[in-house]
Amino acid sequence: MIFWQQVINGLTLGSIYALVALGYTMVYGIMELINFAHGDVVMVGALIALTLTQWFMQQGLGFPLSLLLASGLSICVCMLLGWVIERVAYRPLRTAPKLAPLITAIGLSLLLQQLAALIWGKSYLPFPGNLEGSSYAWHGIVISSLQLSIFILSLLLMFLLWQLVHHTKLGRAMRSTAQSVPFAQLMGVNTNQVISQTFIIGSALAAVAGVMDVMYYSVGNYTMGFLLGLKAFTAAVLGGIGNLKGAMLGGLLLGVLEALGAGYIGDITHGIMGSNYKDVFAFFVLILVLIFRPNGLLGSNNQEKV
Amino acid sequence: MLLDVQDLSVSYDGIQAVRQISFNVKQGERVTIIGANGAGKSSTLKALAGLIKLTQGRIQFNGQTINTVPAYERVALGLCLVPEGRGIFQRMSIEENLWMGAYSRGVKEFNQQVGQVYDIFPRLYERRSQNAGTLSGGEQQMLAIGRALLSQPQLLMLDEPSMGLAPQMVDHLFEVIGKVVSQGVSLLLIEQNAELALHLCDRAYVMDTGEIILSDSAKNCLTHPLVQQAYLG
Repeated sequence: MIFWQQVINGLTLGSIYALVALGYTMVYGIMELINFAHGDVVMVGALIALTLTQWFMQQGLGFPLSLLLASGLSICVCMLLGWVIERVAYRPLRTAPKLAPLITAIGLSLLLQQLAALIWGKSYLPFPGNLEGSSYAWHGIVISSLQLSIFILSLLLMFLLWQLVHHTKLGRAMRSTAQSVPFAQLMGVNTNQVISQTFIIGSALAAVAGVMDVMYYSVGNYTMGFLLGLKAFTAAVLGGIGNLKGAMLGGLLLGVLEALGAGYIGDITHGIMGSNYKDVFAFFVLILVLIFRPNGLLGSNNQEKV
Repeated sequence: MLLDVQDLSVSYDGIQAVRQISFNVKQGERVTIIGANGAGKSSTLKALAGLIKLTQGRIQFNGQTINTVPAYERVALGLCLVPEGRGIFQRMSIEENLWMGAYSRGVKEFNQQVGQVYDIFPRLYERRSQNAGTLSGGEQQMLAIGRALLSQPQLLMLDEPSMGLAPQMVDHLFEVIGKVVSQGVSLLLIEQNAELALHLCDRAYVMDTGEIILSDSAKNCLTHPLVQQAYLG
């Protein structure tokens, strides 16, 4: 029973990881950059949604409407933030050695965290409103409506992203740019614009994931993006970085592994380690993947650039 | 004058790959630039396509100076380069590659024109849903040319189309190129196989260490002692 309960919890968590992992994998796919600031975009999205929901509610609006408006605005701000990050921090380094944008990414991550600490302070902020909602029980397994919403909305967004990447003009432009920037330009693709749009789409998904995360745990904090980002990055590597399906699969898988680990670690270690050690699993997985399958589950060995 | 290049210079890392060359292509003309490896032929084409910056000179296309026009806007003007190594998107299907060719024109144009490309290259139609990476070298070159046609070029620039292909394939390829350009597309061809290039084209320039050392009709070049000795052996 605890097994299936943890699978449900893991799928919820995993769908949040997957949304964030998609942002990592899209940016990596298109410019071979690990955007370590991506997790902090999630944090910004979460905290903006948290604050604005509170504010709208203080203005007398109901919770659902407040949440909807706040989430919408948070997505817009994060899209803008993603665009600015690419424009200001990464574009000038396009031809620089690969270490330069990587270090810049880490610097950006710290910058965003410290800015958030200035704006929101360093304490944990509670998410307003009553998030209990209804829940459904089935043979002793409990699914809350929040969990169900997170899972369904994530699947929907992943489906839409898949359609976008494979069946639209922008998607084809993204995939051609990912394979070769100069060749894409020869086809008439404005590759700078495509890279900007990739950051914008990834940041929108990050904002949604942020809102989900802050609602799921019902607290937010300026450091919340760090661990979440690192786990989502692990998910992307697990699935095969640069691979969209891989990020989706890796996210869900990592969520389930982590939840199962948290559920059973007490039994396995005879109580020496509790579920507070659950974060260990993500990084244990990262190490195993890097040793035994460095290209990830769905990554191929010959992902050659054209 | 379709393409008019004046005093074009290109530098890589401080080394001058192309030194103040001037040449032109008239409407409907087939022009080849021949020369040894490293003579600056590819750099010239890349500069024309906008992939590398010129350090000096002026490129005019259809009377418009395009020095500062970004690469992705030059396709829409009718200037299309099939780069060395073909520039195929290996992880996209053949049809998607062709679709990318019409990127600057739009879906409607693609649907109208793709049939003609499939008529010229029936092999591509048979395998249209396969990944382009599964094609042989010759088929990839056909795909690259078919894709270029979908951008409706006025000037088609081909960089070493015969490279790495079996002799039989090369003959077939040049037959196809001849057929394509006979429909009114102007051609600027770079080719190490000087004999094939000279037989296909109307006019030729010979490049050596970044400079044009000879300019004549292709017919005259075939019998020119310098060309005979250096490139036709």
